[in-house]
Amino acid sequence: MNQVLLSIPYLAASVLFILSLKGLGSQQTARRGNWLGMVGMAIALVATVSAEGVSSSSLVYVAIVALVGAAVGTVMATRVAMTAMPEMVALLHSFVGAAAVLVGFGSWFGEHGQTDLGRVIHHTELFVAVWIGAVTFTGSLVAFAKLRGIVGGKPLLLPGRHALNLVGVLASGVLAVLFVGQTGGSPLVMLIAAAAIALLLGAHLVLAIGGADMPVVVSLLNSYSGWTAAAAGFMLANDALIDRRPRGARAARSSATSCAGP
Amino acid sequence: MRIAIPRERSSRERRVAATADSVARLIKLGHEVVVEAGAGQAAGFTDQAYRDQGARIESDRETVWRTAQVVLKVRPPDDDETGWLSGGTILACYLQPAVSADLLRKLAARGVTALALDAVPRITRAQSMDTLSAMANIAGYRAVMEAALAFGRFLGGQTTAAGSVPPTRVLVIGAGVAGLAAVGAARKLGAVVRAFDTREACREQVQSLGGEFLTVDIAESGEGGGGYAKEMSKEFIEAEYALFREQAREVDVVITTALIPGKPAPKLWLRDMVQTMKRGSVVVDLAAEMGGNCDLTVADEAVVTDNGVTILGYTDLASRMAGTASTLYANVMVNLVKHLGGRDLAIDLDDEITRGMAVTHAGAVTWPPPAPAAPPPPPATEPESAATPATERPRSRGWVPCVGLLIAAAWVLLRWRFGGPGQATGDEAQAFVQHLTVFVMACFVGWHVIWNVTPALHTPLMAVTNAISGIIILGGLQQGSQPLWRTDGSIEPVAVFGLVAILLAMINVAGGFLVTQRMLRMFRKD
Repeated sequence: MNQVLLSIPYLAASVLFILSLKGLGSQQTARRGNWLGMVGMAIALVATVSAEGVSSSSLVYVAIVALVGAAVGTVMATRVAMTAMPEMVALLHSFVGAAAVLVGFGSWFGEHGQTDLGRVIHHTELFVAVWIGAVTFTGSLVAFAKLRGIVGGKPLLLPGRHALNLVGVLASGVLAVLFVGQTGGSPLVMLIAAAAIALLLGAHLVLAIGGADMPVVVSLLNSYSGWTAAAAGFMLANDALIDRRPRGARAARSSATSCAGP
Repeated sequence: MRIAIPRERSSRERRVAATADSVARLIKLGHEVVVEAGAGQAAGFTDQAYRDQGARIESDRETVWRTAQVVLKVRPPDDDETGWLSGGTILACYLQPAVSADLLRKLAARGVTALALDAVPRITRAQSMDTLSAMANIAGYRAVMEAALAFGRFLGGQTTAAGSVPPTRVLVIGAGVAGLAAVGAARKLGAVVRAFDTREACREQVQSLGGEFLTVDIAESGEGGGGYAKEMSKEFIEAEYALFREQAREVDVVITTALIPGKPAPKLWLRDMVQTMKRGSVVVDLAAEMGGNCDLTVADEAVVTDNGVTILGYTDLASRMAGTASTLYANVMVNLVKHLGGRDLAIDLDDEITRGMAVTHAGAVTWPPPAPAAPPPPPATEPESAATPATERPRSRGWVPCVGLLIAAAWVLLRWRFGGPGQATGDEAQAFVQHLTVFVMACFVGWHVIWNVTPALHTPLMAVTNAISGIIILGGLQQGSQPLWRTDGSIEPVAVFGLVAILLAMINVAGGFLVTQRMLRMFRKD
C-alpha cells in the first residue's frame, strides 16, 4: 500500500470527522455535521480501496459484502423506533468490537514486522486491539439485551465480582506479556485465551450494572469502541483509524449528569 | 424494652412524643410502652386510644420515670424528672445542648444516655429523624395563620361588587424550612410574597414557591454549615437594613425566621422599621425563643406598638398545631428507635447520626460532637454551565496526567529495551511514534470538540461517533482485499476475517449515519 498517496485523503477525512463532531454540538449545525461525517467516511473508503492492490476478483467480494452490510444497516436505521435508539446504538457498538477482534486475528495471520522492535510493537497493538474489541463486543451485546429486555434489568452481583474482574485483567496481563515475549506455548492459543477472558469480562462488567444505568454504559462503550478502532489503527499503521479518539468519555460524563438530573 | 411516654409539664407545650399509631408500631417492634395518664390530652389523643393499641396507662408520674428504660419526650426534663432517671436509661428529647450545660452535667452524672433531637446531624441519611425541619415547617405555616388572624384583611386581593381589596404584602426574612413554609402558605392564600435570605441557594426555592427573592448588591455568601446561615459582615448588614427600611413602608406582614446556630437571633427588624410600618401591620417573630429578630419582640406575647403594629413573639407555634406536630414527632421517635436497633437498642458512637445526637453517654458529657462537614460549595455562576455542575470540571482533567504518565512509561520502556548503542530503531518504531503523535493530538481535539455539546444532542452525537468508529472498516478493507484463494487453492483466513469485518463495520457505518439523519430530522422546525 502506498502510505504517501493515502495520507492526503486520510487527512481530509480526519478533518471532516472533526468538523462533523463539532457540528453535532449544536442544533443549527448538526445536520451539516452528519453530512460532513458521511463525506469523510466515503473519502476514506474510496482512498483505501483505490490504494490497495485490489485484484478484480477480490474487489467483487469486498463490494458484495460491503453492499450487504450497508443494506442491513440501512434497514436497521429506517425500521428502528425512536425509543429503541439507545439499544440500536449499543448493538452497533458490538459490531465495532467484533470487527476489531476479527481484524486483530486477521492481522495475526498477516505480516509481523521486519525488526525485533517492530514485532513487539505490532504484537502489543494487536493484543490491545483484540482485547478491547472483545470487551466492547460482549459488553455492548449485554447492554443491548438489557435495553431490549431480553436480559432482566436487575444487576447480576456475583460474590467477589471485583476480585473476578481483577483476576481477569491480571490473567490478561500475564497472557499479554507471554504473547508479546513469544515465550512458552503457542501465541495464537494465548491470543484466543485472552480474547475469551475479555469476552467474559465485558459481559460480566455490564451484567453487574442495573438496567436504568444502561444509557451511561452505552456512552462508555461508545468510548471503548473508539479506543478499539484506535488500537486497530496502531496495529495496521493507519492514521485515519487512530483518529477515533475516546470522545465517548465526555458523552458518558454528560449523560451521567443528565441521568442524575431527574 | 420498656418505653415511657411522660406528659409534658411546661405550660405552653401541647405536644406529646407518641400517638396511638406510633405506640402500636413501637409495640410491634417488641417493646412495652407505658404512657403517663393524660399525656396526649392536649394533642387530641385520649388515654383510651393508647390503651386500645396495647399501651399501659400509668397515673403515677414518678413510677413512669423510675421504671423506664427508654424515655421519649418533647421538652427537656426538669430537675425532678432528671433525678428519677436511672443509669443506662436512654432519654430522647429536645435538649438545646449548646445552652444547657447544667442539665447535661446532671444527666451525665446519673449515667443517662441523652439523645438530643435538636442535634441530629443535617445529613441526608438522618432526614427521617429531622424533627427540627418538621416543626419549622409547621411553625412557618402557623405563622401565616396567626398573622392573617391578627391582620384582619384578606390575604389575597379581591374585587367585589362592594369594592376592591388589595392583596396583602408579606415579607419573609430567612428562607429556611420555616421561611419557605411561610412563603408557600401565604402564596396559597393569595398574598404577594417577598423573601430575603443571605444564601443564594434559596433564590430558586423561593421563586419555585411563587415568591419574589430580594437581595442586596453585595456579593457575599451566607452559606453556613448544616443548612443554616452564618453571620454576615458589617457592610452586608448595613445594606440589608437599607433594604428592610425601604420594605417596611410597603409591606403589611413581616415574618422573621433568621437563626444562627448557637448564637442569639440576629436583630434584623429594628425599632425604626417598625415605626415606619402602616397601622394594623403585623410582625411575626419566629426567633422569639432565641431573643427575637425584631427589637420589640417579647417572647410568648402579642405586643401592640404605639403606631398600631402587632408584634407576635409566640414560641409555641408548632405546639399550637399539637395534633399534626405530635404525629410527625412521634413518627420520628419510631424512626429513632429503629435507627438504634429496633428491638434491642444500642448506642453506637461510631455512627455519625447517633454520635451527633448523643450529648451524654456512659457518665460523660459528649457534646459537642466532632466538627461537622464544611458547607456545600457555591452553585455554578456561569449560566452556560447549567447542564454540567461546575464542581465536576477540575476533576475531569485527571486524564491529562494519565496520558502524560503513559507516554513517559512507553518511552522509558523503549529506551531500556531497545535504546542500547548500535541498535537501530528502524522505520517501524518511527512509524509507531508518528501514530502515537496522531493519537494524542486526536485525543485532545476530540475532547475539546465534544466538550460543550447540547444535552439534547447526546444520542445523535453518539450515533455519529459510532458510525465514525465504523472506520475500522479500513482495517477490514486492507485485509479483505487480499486474494481470497491462495495459489494452492486453500482459503486465505486473513481475507475471510477481513470480509466479515467489512460486513459488520459497514452495517455500523450505514446504520449510524442514517439513524442520525433520522434523529436530526426531528429537530427541524417545519
